[in-house]
Amino acid sequence: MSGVLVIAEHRRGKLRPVTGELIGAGVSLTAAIGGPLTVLVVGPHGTDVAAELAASVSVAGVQRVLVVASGPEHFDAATCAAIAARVASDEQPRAILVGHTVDGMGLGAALAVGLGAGLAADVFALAVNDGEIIATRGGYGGKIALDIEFPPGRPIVLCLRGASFRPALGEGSAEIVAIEASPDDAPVSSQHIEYRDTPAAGFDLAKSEFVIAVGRGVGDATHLARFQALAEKLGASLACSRPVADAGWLPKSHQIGQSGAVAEACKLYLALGISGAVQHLAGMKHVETVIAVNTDGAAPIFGYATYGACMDLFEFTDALENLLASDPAAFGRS
Amino acid sequence: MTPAALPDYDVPDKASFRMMVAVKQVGRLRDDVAIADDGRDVDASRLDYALNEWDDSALEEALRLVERLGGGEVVAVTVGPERADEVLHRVLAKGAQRAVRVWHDDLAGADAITIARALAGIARHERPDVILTGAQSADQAQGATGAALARMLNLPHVGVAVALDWDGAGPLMVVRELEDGGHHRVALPTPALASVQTGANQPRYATMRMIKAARAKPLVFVEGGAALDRGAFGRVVRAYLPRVDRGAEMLAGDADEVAARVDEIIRETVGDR
Repeated sequence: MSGVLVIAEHRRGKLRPVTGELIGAGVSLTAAIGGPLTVLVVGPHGTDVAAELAASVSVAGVQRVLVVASGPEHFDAATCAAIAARVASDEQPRAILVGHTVDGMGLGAALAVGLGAGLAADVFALAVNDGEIIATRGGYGGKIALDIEFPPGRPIVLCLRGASFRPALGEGSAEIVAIEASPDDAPVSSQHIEYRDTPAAGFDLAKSEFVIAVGRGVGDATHLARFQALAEKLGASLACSRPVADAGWLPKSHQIGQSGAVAEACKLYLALGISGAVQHLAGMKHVETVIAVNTDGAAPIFGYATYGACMDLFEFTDALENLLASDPAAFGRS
Repeated sequence: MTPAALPDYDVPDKASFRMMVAVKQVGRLRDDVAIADDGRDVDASRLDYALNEWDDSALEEALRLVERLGGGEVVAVTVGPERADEVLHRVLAKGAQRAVRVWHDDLAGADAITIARALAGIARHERPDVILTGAQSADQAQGATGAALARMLNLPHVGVAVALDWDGAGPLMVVRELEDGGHHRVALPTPALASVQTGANQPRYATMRMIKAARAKPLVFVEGGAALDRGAFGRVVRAYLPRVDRGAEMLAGDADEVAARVDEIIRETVGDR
């Protein structure tokens, strides 16, 4: 076993951003453990897409790109895991890098089972200690970090958290190798029906400069009107974390995070009762000024906030509302 | 990697179809977090335990399918020590017909693939038509059990499912949630496995009275030593409180003082509105 195999992720003909990050992590990892860096593209059959994808992953640091141009037209977990396992068995890499994404969550563990490989998912840091790979991941809602070691003599599947590794850049000159299909590549699989894009939201969270986001801490739906009024008064957009949208307290279009909107234009993010799950952080941790109000002083959000207050969000909101009501003119607000 | 050869137990004949739901009792941190003496986990004596939220959504999907179809059986399976019976009593109260708990003391701290081996061993006995798991667990959050289990059983699989429909015979219709709010609708020939995301439904509530009444429902214990024989696939060497990327400046004072400072920050960053 030597080197690193990266499984490229793509959807609807386009490379997913996590792929560049996987390659970036692969460049660092091969520098530490030696061996070649290889990227596998399981491309859709009967199109030129596989070749285009192969060219786009040929970045600096990648020695070879393997292309299986007989994959499913749309992602299928079982088929992709079977093909990746077959190629990995031939290639014998020490580590296989997969995105900890929606597709990756179908693929990574299945690949590890197929290969009898070690596994760690949602990995956000990698280290090499005396030649051994150590993966760091989070537990208990991101409040605890866990360093994972792996048994010797087996490959390791590492599913890497998005936006945690620097993407690889620069022109490369990888050798592109076509891999033939095999009858073993087609287990019982899902059938594609359709993609559904998000319906246009009534407002565009991504364009808001000032976002007030509420989390599970708001308690129940009856309190939402109050925060909507506060947001309007301050000229902010009201957003929420996943549990609030899951509970139906606010429409899904208000959700910030991995499966919601990214607060792209946001300059100020006021997080009320939001603990800061990884998925939520993905939508807002880049914001320049973040204020977090939470009763739990150990909440991960305080690790990403500029300002924090360890306080009940209603107590805080009462005070802010009183302030705005008592002297609106002084603040130049309507 | 094959399913664990678990001991036989009394599995009733299938009346129509059977849905198996994998559930987990998860540990929840209290405010007084501490690392265990061996440095490899949190101090378990300071944990509260609960039914994993994602599994609650998976169970709710199974119960609704059975109710909609007016037949079929839901069997809940967990891999956990005796305290995990609390979770099984809860899911039985919510409407599962039977529950199975697999355990061996050496499974404590087992990795996701070992847990999937144990669950696969139960699936071999139960022969379910549909298996549902949560998309991830609240404590370990690897999101690995469903995919590992599907591969061991050679079943088609969808991760991160937010809607399910089934007519009891044809393919399982699943909507999976994609990044950035998009969705992908697929059909899985059954038997099939789907991992369910929270928000797929609003799980029902079990009252204490319902939980008490459900104690009459069958709950089987299965010795799980057979799941162990392949060794670990990954082992925690160190658990610790993570270094923060950017520590927040904590605002001092009472609520009025904090609100006044926040108001200043609002004006400094986004100006008067």
